[in-house]
Amino acid sequence: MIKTIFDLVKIKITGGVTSMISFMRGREAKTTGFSFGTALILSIVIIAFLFMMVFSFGLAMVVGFQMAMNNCLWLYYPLAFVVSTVFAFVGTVFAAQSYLFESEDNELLLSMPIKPSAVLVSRILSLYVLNFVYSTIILLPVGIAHRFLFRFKGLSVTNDIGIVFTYVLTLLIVPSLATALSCILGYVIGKISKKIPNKGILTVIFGFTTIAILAVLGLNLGPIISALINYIDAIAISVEKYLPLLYIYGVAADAGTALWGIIPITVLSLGLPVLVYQYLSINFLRLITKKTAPKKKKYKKEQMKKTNVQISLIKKEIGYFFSIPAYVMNAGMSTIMAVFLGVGILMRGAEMNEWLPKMFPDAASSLMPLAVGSSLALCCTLNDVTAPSISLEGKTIWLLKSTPINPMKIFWGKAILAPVVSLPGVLFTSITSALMLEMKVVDVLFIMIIPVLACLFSGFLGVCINLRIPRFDWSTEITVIKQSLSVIITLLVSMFFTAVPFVLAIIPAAYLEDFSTVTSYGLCIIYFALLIGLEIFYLNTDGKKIWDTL
Amino acid sequence: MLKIQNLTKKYGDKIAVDDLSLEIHSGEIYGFIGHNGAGKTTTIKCCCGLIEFDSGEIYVDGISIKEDPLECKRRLSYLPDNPDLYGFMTGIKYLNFVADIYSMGVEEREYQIHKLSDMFGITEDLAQPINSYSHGMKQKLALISAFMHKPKLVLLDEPFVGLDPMAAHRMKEEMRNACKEGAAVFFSTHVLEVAEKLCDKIAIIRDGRLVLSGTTEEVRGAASLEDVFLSLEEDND
Repeated sequence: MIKTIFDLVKIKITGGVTSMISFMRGREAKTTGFSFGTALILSIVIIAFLFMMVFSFGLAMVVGFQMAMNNCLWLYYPLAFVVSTVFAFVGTVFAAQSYLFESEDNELLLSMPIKPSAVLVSRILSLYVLNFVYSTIILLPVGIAHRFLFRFKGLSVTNDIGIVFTYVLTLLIVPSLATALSCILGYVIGKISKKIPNKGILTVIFGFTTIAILAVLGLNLGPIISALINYIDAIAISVEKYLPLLYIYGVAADAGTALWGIIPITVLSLGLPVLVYQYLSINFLRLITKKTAPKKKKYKKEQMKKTNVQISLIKKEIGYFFSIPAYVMNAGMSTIMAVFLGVGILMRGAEMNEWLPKMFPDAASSLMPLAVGSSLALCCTLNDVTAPSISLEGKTIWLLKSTPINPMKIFWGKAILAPVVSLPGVLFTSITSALMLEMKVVDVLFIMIIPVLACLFSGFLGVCINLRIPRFDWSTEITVIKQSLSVIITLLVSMFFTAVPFVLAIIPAAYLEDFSTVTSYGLCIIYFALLIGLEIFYLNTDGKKIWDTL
Repeated sequence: MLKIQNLTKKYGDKIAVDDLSLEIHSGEIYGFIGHNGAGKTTTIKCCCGLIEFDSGEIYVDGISIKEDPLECKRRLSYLPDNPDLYGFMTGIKYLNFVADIYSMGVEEREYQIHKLSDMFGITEDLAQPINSYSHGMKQKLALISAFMHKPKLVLLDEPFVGLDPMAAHRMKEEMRNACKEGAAVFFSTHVLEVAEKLCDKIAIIRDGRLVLSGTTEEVRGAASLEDVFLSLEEDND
């Protein structure tokens, strides 16, 4: 049984990693060797990991230093424990539901002579591995920082073995607790989603709420850290008084003495997953085999409508977009960012009206629309909705290819989706800018038109790039949406090309006295129109030929 | 209606279809038989412009698929062996989408969709998302979309797979009706009994090459189609 569990965990983990690498390698995935795609993606992943670790290290040093100064370094590990548990939990909560209950091989495994309990244990352990990766991003730099802080405190490392022991134990128990929590929430989400007709809505709402909370925390990180440092004594007293479990753990982890203090938190962290396992194992078979049929809606014959092919294709793309929560969350980030920008302008618009003229007395009126327009356009480039759209045709591509549709109509249908998705954010921010930033009509028009053009540019770019590196061998849409090389390339290239005209316009606007904003608006519009024209030309020539070979 | 001239299609070094020629006239039901990997699906995909081919020519209603693929596609409909449809759409939305592509008028689409969906017994399910359909229901929906715009040429790849006996019977009826109205039907199948009873003409393909073709009577001679097919396979072994 242990070997079976080990094999199942290995299959799950290696399958996930192989699929990720394979998709990021683009079209050459069937070949072996180290492709450009692999190199690019591995570089991005490594840089992202390093960035997060360096960031964690910096935070740990700043907060830990204050703790050491206030003689409460024992609070260091409890805080790291909580933060890393939350980080891992948030990172894996969506995976929990799919790992536990929606794995495609569930029925296959159950038809084999494998105990359902072995399948469940393997799923929980796979989730544990994922949580381990997430929590290590925080805990590894935290451990390194602790060594520096310990020496700063002027203490000799007499209980080195004790410290290392508790640290290693922390590395192991944090993912265990996070796994239990994500299993519980995954189970609850699954239960609720079965009761509502469109479970995708729940995922999107939950996803965006999480992102919004993280964004608010991220934007207020400075004040939060300041408060943490300023009130460190009060926090330490409260933890000591009300959370003794964390206190005794903190003392043991910090000094490497009184090691009995780590027993309660270890029991909790290891015991909770066992309880979760016990509960899930009772219902596991029912949970993974029960199919809740949606309430059947009977078709009533009614008058149909004839629609233009182009409109029909656009409607099809919109329908597909809203049917996949991960797609909405990925591409919808641009709208969320644009709305954040709009909210920021609503809240701080008055300050900006005072602050900018002080910094640039002669250029404030020119700079404001350029700054808002460029920020909004850059938000729009986060909209990668078209970058996986050719790949997403997958096994249904025969439908478009065997019917009399000009491929350009298909490309337009996909590209238009980008401005459609971003439009709510653009409109909202344009209106808040008009209300709060004392802009002229021409300025407001500019900050409405430019982001739409930037969207259309990135929309067509996504189609062009995805045509070059499509992948039709996916098993779930999420793989294509989140891991395609075309998505990453589209994001990077569209950001670069969108930033260029603004950098070129903002610098002279800030320093040239007789700078004409209307001219810069015109040049920006011409710039994007030219880029879009080039993309359309490419699609109309090479793009059509590539489409025929797909 | 469909003229295939010296069609050759290679996948790398492997020749999938080798110098194949066939002609299918209006009003004919033409069966295409062969073992797994013989080249049936590749031939059909070439005919509907789904894949490019290395040499030869394919004409649909006298129009070259290479020269004017869109005009050819306006005249034909194609159904793959495993029709993956847009799962996020409801059945009725999907049929309307296809009707829009073929520029069907409102009255015409209403009549055809309701007639065919009644015939295949899935009218009540048209408001359901395709994701919730069984394999057979998807097959029926795909068949409705293939026949509803009255194509001149119907290309079907293993159309009987997954259909219940009643639906298979209805489909045969619809194939005959389409032919009576002047269309041509070209389909691949492994069900030799069906081919024998349904087809006006039959072609047998082996390793990409056409080994036998003609009217059903000519092909089977005094034996059954199964005997003919098996003897050809044994000769090959």
